[in-house]
Amino acid sequence: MADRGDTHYRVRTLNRWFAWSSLALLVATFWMVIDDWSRPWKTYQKGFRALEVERARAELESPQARAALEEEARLSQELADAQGRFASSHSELEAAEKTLTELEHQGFIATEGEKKLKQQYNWERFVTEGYLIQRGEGQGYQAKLANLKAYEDRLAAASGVKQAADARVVEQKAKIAAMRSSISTIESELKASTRDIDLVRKKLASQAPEDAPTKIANVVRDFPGLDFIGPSLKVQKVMPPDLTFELNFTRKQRIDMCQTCHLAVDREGFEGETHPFRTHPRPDLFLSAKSPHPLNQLGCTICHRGSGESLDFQRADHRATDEEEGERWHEEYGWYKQHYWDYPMLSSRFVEASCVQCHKTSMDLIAPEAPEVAEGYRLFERYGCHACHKVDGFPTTRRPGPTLAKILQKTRPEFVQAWVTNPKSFRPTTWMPQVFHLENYASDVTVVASHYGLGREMKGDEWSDTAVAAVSAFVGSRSATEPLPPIPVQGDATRGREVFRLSGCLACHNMAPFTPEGRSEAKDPALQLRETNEHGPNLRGIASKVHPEWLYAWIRDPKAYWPQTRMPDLRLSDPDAADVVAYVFDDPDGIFHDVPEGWAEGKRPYERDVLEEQARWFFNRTLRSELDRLFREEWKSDEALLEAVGEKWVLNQGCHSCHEIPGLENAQPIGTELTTWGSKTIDKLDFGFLPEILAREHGWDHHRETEFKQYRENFLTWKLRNPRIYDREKIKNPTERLRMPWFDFTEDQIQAIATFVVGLVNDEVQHAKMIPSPEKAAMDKGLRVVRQKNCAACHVIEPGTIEFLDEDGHPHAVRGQFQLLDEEELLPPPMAGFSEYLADYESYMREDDPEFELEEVYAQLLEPVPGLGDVGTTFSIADVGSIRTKPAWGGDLVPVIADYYLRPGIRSDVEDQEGTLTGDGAGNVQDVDGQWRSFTEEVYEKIRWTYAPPVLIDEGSKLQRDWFYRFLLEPVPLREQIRVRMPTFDWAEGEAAAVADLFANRARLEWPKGYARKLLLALGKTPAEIAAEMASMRLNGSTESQIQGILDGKPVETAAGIANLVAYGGAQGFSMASAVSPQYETLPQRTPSHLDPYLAQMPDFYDEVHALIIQPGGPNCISCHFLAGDPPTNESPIAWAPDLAHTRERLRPNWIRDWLSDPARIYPGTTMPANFALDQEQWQGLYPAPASEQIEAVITWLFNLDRALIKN
Amino acid sequence: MESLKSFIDSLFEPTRYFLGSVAAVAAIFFWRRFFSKSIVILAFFLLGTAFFVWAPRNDTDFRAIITKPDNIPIVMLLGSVVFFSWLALRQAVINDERRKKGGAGNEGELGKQKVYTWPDLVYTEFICIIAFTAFLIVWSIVVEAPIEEPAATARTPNPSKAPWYFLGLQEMLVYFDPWIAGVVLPGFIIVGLMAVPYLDTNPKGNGYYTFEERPFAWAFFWVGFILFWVSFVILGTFLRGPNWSFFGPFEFWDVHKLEPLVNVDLSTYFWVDWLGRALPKSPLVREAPGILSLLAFFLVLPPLLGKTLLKGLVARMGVVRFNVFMHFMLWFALMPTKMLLRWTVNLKYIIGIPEWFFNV
Repeated sequence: MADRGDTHYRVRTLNRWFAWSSLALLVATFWMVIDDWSRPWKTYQKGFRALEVERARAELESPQARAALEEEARLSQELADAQGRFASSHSELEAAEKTLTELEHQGFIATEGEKKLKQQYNWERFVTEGYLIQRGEGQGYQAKLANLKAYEDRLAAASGVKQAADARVVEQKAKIAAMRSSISTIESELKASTRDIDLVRKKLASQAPEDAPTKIANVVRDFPGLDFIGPSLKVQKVMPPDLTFELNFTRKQRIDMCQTCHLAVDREGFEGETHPFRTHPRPDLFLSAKSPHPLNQLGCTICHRGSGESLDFQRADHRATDEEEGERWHEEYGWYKQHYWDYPMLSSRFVEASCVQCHKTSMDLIAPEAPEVAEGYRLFERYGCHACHKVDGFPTTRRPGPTLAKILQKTRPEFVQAWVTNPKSFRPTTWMPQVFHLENYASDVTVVASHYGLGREMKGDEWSDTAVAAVSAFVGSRSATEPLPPIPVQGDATRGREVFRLSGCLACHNMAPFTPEGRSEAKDPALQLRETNEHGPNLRGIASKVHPEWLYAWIRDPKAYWPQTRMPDLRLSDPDAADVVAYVFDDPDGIFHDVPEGWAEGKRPYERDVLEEQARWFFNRTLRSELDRLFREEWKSDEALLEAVGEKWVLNQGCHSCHEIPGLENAQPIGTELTTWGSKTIDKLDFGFLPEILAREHGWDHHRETEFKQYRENFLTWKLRNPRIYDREKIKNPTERLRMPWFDFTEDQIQAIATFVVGLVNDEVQHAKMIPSPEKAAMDKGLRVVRQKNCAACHVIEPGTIEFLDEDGHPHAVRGQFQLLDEEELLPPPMAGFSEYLADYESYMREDDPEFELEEVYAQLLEPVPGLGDVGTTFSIADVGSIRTKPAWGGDLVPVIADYYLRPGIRSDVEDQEGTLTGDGAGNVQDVDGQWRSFTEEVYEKIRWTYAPPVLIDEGSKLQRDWFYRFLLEPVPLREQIRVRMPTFDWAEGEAAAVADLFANRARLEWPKGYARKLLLALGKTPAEIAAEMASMRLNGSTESQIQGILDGKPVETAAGIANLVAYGGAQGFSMASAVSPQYETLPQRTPSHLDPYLAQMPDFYDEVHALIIQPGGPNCISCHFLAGDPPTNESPIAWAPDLAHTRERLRPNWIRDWLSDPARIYPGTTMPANFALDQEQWQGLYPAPASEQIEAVITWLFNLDRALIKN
Repeated sequence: MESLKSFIDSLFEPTRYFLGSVAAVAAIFFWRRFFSKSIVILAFFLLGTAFFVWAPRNDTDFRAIITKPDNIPIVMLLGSVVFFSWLALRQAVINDERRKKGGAGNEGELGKQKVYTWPDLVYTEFICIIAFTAFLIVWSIVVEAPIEEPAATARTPNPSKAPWYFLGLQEMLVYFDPWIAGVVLPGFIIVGLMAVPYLDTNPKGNGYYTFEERPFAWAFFWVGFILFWVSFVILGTFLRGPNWSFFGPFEFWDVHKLEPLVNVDLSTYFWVDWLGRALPKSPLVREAPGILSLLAFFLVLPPLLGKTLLKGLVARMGVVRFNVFMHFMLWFALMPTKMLLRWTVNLKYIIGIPEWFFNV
């Protein structure tokens, strides 16, 4: 524009301004596009691509690839040669191919011609039909019909032409193929041999193209502004079906884009990489397609939380594992907690919390995989959190504390007061929390400062003491007081000790000293703490607590006092129970009157004016004048006022939530509902002044302080550590202070419980309808009942695991147990604390021989292990230092019992105890049969199998499920000599069935693994060999890895491959008892179709077998077994075995088959001999048949014993 | 340091903040000759810059508030409003000086010249638009234009703030019933601004800056715009925290901060505190003091003032204009009156008839 010269601004200048500002706008616009385009995730994707290229290149350098490349070169050469040879007949082929082209051309024309005619025919038919329907069968119609007919003929002719042409093409093709056959063979061979490296090459070509056009194309695809079309770097997302989260009252589909950066999460082989390129741990459990948590079904955020739709380190709401990592992130990524996302990522310490949302009803089942949260769940129940805090769907509503309805029959009011003041001062291990004298009512806290004009400050101590007095007065007032009947029999303390030790009391109870030092010094296994003997309270000091009459009544019938108790009925006789009471109260061992230092039973002092002040607060809705009247009249006596205030205190502090108190059965529990606590937004949590206090103490900056408040876990952890901490530095009136009692949890317990509670979320998965299968649900319930009834205290349910390196340095992990180290030892080395045990042993041995060095340890297999041996095989481990152990699950009581029989009294903590048991003082012990025997007479194994509670490993394959169920309901004695009692439990509905189902299901699940291992042992082949043979047998899809998976018990491989493996085993002549079906199983041995052939062949069948069984020269079963109530002929009870008459209802025939042929393969160390070894000729004089048939005959006889005995 | 911070915090207590601002405006007008000196504005900006460098370094709360990406424009507003207000005042002072000396105003000569719409207006505006757009883009890239949390009707953000330019209206909601603060008063603002050309009978000051010829217009503009709009934007942005509570610039925005306010209606003051009797049952009787005083405010005050203090104004404007003008002014005056009553004597409503949803 020309400058007119009369404008205020010069146009040239304006033009310049215009140009520069437009340029600036252009630059800004480009900057915007590039800024939008440049995302951190693209860097990660490029990095990952580089990593993959690097790996592919390395793969091409590997020896296998080199071999393949050589093979390829060889074949290519061969191909070239063949092609060269072929070139001589080149012209012939060329002619043939030319003909083929010509023929194909003709075929195309013929096909098209036919198509065209077909359309014309269809048209004519349509016209003809229309004519008929509108005008009827006139002349015109006939003409149309004739026309149609003509078309039909032409169509038929055309089809013929087409078929002929097609046939010629096929023929010509075959001709050419025949000509080329030599070349095609080499070609296909080449293709097969280079398949693997071709894949790698293809990958390389796509990831790192070498040709310029592809390279340029890739750049263009990812170019800013063009990358919306088909970029090579793109966002990866998973939209798990049905998984939502709550947003604004609606449910929003989860979209997880985490994989955009975490590119290898579901790909194996990247375990060693750093984040974000690392494979997810445990691909057998998570993310891989065959795992139970496949990526495309679940995504990421359902477990990890965080913001799945964010593609930025910060906005994804990543979470550091610890402060150190947080600091590092802060420096590297400028990380801070973004407070706009309500569900921050769970730190790796808490990630198990997410299991709860789906597995709330199968927590026991997942315990091996998610130990932390399962432990939290157990603690939650054990400490009775559910009693105060409602959790929908939590499997119990049982009150965790004993009833207080008859508390004064059990103990004295003075005890109650002292106990309520501080339960741990009497029993440090009690799980009753401390309620009074806590921080927010501490001695230096002024609870009220003359609120109601009394003119004096009241301190926490007097306030709490008065409260305790009121609570115990109230509880006492609600208790039944009529005295219990006296004990009918005079007890004997010495006998009582034996009953106490042998009946099984110590399975659930311990008598451990109060202090950790005392505990570590206790030699007597009865005084040591184990996993299971803390199921009931520590019995130390119990005589200082309860009345003898109450103890007697309680032992005789626990449910009479407390219907919900976990304590079972041991069916003790009156004298037995009286003896136990005598033992406890005479207390020859000084255990039951032992109380911790500082414990003093007694009434706490209280003051009337404090009590009145508390009444004023609690009854603040009552008019003051009315209160004054009450103080003068109804509440004139302190007792009445104590009871009135006590009730308020009980309701205020929630005693009634855990304990049944008459009159308060329906009062509301005091805790917050926790059903969806994990979804509660953090602004609903009152952190009080804790963040400020912590910031002050630790010098936190503002960010750190705010961050602390952003995580629910922090709230919970501190609350569990010190439940009243959020009252700190707050000024509150005395009735509105925090009320949760103090449990004295360890940090590990806090972590576990917090993990569980954080997992209680607004259950999204219910929307996805994920519920466990009926089998899984039954097993979970069974496991839960097993835990609650403490079955594992007496019974070994799963053997321990021994990990070690063999001579070649290969790692092994086998189920097994250790053998005795030398003859001096009585008990085999323990699995728990094995290394400590060995260290002790070695230092003990070095006292005599300073050079002593333990060279090897012997262990025994409790499962078949290909390469090592079958069950019962003993093997040696030379590399003792490499041994790691996982203790067996269950059987904690066994050492206590064995100890008793092996060397009575010698391990007792009191020096001169030897001989005070029913012993003769010379190392002999009187047994149940009244016989004296030397304690060293029998080896541990025999004692263990004879006197200790039975091992339940694989019990499901042994027992008929229905018998097991009935036995649980009403136990019958199986081994007459055993003194440990199977208690009578008070099963809730479905509980006994769940236990029986659990074992049946376990047996069913364990069976394929056992089958595969025994098969490998029997055939002596490796999985690779078997896979090869199976492939040749066309048992398709049986790969080595699949067989290995079955051997390792992996569910996916097992489900896919076991049927084939069994078919293979059958073909190899291998047989093994079939799998357990958890459903009803038939007993074919009792059916006529089974029996009749025996009876037809051998009319005296029953007598024949009977003779075989009882002949002293034969297997002589009745030497040890009872037979329909007749005692065994062998007089030593160490050998006594169950009554054969139980077999029919109790055992599974399949199991007996394995058992009779080789009992030691099932229970190593059992006294049962291998009477019918399959590889031996035995008893043919008594029953002329091979061992396998003898076994079948015995089984048939056993299952028809009722008939056989009637006949006799 | 801490005592300095708490001193500054205490300055920003609402009554002090408001009355202080009024006093500051009065002082600036009174000593305008001094304030319009370049050295003053230079000192002001140096001190201000020093403050904005010093304060965030020494206080996380202050830093959090002023560096919030949302709030940065308001920090800019702070500087630009001060500068342009000062510039106008300076021009007016210079003009007034000249005028006193008998010369023409600064713009006197220029005022006679003419400029073209194109290119002098439209082209320059166009360039400004382009440059400003570029600036906005760069700015939003650099501060990473903020996004807040996902919206949730059950959980609104705390504090829940209006767009910055409406913070003045939102402030009024604290003192008045929504129908007054949200409907009547904004309506009067618009109507009042529309009425200005018809009410303003002063012909002076057209096309040039002058203070002395239009002191009322200056005062009204500064109070209405700078005090009641701009300063409320600043107040709403920096000083209103969670639960719409008042926070000093160095104070932590504590969600749990309690305002010890027990607001009481005028009727309670009248019947309970002064007459020592219970509130009458009938709302009309009960609220009679409020109704009467408001009636007096709107009906008695204009004629009274017209007869006495503002006699000259009536003469200049005529009765109708004067009354319309007075009504706008009275409505406007209601605002600070009510605010001060709230801050000082916790007055909730002058007329409070919740039964009829009628509260003033």
